[in-house]
Amino acid sequence: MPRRRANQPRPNRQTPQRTVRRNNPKATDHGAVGRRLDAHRRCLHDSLRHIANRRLASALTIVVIGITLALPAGLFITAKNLAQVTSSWQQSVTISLYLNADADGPSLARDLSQQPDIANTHFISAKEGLAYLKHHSQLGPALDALGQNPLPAVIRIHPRSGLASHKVQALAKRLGNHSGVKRARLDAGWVRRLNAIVNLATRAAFVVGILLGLAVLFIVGNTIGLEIENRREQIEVMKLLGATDAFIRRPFIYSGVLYGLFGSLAGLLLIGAAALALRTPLGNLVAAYNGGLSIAGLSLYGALILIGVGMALGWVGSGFAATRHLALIEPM
Amino acid sequence: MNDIVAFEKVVKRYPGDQTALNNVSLRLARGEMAFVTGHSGAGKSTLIKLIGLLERPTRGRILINGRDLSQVKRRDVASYRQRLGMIFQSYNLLHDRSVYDNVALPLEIRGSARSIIDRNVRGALSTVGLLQYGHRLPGVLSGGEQQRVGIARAVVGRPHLLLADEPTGNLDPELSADIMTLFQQLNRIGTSVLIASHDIALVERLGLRRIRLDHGQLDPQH
Ligand SMILES: Nc1ncnc2c1ncn2[C@@H]1O[C@H](COP(=O)(O)OP(=O)(O)OP(=O)(O)O)[C@@H](O)[C@H]1O
Ligand SMILES: [Mg+2]
Repeated sequence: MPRRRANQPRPNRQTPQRTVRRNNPKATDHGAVGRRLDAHRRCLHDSLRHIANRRLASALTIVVIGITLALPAGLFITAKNLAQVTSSWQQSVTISLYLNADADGPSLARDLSQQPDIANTHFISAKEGLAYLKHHSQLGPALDALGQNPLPAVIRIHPRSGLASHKVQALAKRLGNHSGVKRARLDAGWVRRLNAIVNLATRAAFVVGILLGLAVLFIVGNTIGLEIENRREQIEVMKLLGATDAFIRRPFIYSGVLYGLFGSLAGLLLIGAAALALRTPLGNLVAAYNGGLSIAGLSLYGALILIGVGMALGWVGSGFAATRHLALIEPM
Repeated sequence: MNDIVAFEKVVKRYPGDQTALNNVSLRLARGEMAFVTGHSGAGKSTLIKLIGLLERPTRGRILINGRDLSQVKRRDVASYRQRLGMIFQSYNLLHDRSVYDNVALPLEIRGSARSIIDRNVRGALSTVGLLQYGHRLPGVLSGGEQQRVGIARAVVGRPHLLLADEPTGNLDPELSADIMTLFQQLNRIGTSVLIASHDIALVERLGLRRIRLDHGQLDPQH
């Protein structure tokens, strides 16, 4: 068997006869590494040609992979936007501290406003509270009849914006134990519920992502399996010539990775199309919130992750399928 | 030890109790060229397949170049086959690759360097007189030309043993004679050659050694 050591001088190439050129553009001879690269380039070329040859089937596979990847990606984007929205609404969360009658409200409010988790405080004396209540309700005569003010003084606290909701809850609890404070109330029940919904949506996107990721594995595996069966005779011939399973598997794995790549690109296109279709209604929604609402699409980072995931799934799916199918093919 | 092929009391029984080879012992010396002949079903293909590890013997021992084939593990079969040249009646070419690429395949499988592949493929193609057809697809060639491509592919890696099963089965007598001449040329430059053929007239004309099989048994008069 002719073997060449990597550092051997490059053999002189005689005047090439053009008849047998096609496959030999620039015979690259950089030793083992060059040979390896050469083999990989050839595989990539072969795989691209096979995908191109089976245009319709390949396109279908790619579109199905695209849809399958776009669904969880769209869910993730939705969940992320919901999270964004709730965190912006978090700013409307307030904690009300109901004070004991003997507490020095104004100075407590001043002290508390120095705390790092608190954005600002607003002291409402019992008298102001009563005036407000009288003004905004029909309870005036009843309150007058009581003869004395039933309301406690209140400090309304706005937590620092962006404070996580569990920290807001902890803050409320801590303030409730503060001396001079009778009770602390967190006006955020609905935010908590919304948060729970966002968490659920994120988790759902994750679960759906895993399930559909498995689906992509099966789609790629099935496609590659069919391609291997279609090329069974050729594979038998290669085995007769002494090709290892690894050698035969390589172009199929390239195909799988390419399916993943093209599929994720198709998915990105679908997400882009969906974003375009939703632009007007979303724009209206944002306008209705006077810009207090911002919607984010897929970031470049997200797009790269999607492509990476697609290619990885293609690699794994084709690897499994090729290994399984090739083991079953023996020349007769 | 100087035998390229040695069969020692080889029995091959296929599922269904079909005994294809029965107690066959034979030797092929290194550098020798011989024919395996016999009626249809005599066991010629089976003998070739056993050497190519397409089948395993039911009993007995086969040594190739001194190596006991029962010691060749499943995962070593590929590298074992890389040292053989195999030619079949159906030409077994890959029809989506050019003639050049078909002949290059065994060297690509071994991971040879581009320049070596190029040099050897040209050499093999000119040996079979098809250098000018390198860029064509096999499908457009005649049967004889396709078989010559198959032979070029079998010899491109300088195998120590060339196996052929009915290499002229699909060819007319004149082309068959050409192909046999080609095998003789290859044999003269040192390749051991074993050819299964039922074309007795052709074989007799060449006057080479014949290994005769009859119902799976060696004909003692050979
Ligand atoms: N895979 C198989 N399973 C069962 N029986 C088989 C198998 N292959 C061959 N045989 C049987 O073994 C015997 C020898 O077959 P083999 O193919 O070696 O004959 P042959 O000499 O090559 O014949 P031909 O000249 O027709 O090619 C035949 O009886 C055949 O039916
Ligand atoms: Mg036969």
